[in-house]
Amino acid sequence: MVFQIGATLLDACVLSVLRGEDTYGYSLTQTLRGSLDISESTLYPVLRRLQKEACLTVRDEAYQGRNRRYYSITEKGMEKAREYRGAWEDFRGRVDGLILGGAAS
Amino acid sequence: MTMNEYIEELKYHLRKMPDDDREDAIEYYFEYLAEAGPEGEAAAIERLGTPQQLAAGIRADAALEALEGGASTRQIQDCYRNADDDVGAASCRPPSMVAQHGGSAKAPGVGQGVKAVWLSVLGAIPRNVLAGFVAGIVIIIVFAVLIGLFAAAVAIMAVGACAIGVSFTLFGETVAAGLFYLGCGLALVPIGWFLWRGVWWVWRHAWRGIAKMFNGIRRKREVRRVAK
Repeated sequence: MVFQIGATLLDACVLSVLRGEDTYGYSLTQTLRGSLDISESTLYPVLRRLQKEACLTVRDEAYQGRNRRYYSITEKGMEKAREYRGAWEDFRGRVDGLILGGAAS
Repeated sequence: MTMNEYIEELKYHLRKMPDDDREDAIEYYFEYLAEAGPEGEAAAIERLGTPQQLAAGIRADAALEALEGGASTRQIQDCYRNADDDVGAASCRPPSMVAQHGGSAKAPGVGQGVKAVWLSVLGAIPRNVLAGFVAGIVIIIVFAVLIGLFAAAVAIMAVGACAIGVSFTLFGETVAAGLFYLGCGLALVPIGWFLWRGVWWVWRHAWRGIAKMFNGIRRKREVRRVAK
């Protein structure tokens, strides 16, 4: 991918995916990797930070004799995700204006 | 490398971190590889990089996290430092997260920010390159100091010799001045000589010491390779 993914954009993506459903680290990583060029170790510090900021909580469930840690979004995380969504629409509009608008004229 | 070997090695490289931070990271990556399943395991390990690389990343993140939490540079260094020596494992937990024992958590200053950047840079350099770099600097410093001391020894002897020479011309005028110069000269020449001998001794042993140090590094690396 040509464009770099910053920490904030990554937060926005993680929170937005978690808005849909609770999920675990591996699955979340694979979901994001389907669209973004991130490494497999990218999400660990992100999830840790979001958890510390109380944007998400974890819950452990037994799965095939081992543990599976699910991440769920909190009310605060929902709020953050809404903010990011607004900011993203604004940002995307501006960049579209520059890149696509510039090319059209 | 199997998943268990990978996790064991990761654990080894994270052993200087505070226990629960390390356990947290280990659990995450254990689960991660388990989720990848037997068929995806090798590919996932491949993409995660070597345990050493992954550990370096985890430690760098932990250092930044601690910095944001207001931990002192010292604590961050203890946490982040390469895990090859076994002295003094200190906690790098931000003070705000530890039981508040009266201390106020200071906001990280610019100096700490610069240090954190340095730590990240150092973390990105492979350890053996770093060791070679440090060893090179040590050798240059030792070399420069010894050359300087050699020059000083030669200079002292030369001054002593000159003083002795001058004293003979002075005896014609005043005996006292002549004796003074002669005495100084006779004292300086042996001082210079002993300094020369001393530096020479250090010179020989310094190279031996440096050679030993390099052998030590190589041995350590071989031991580690064998352990793998």
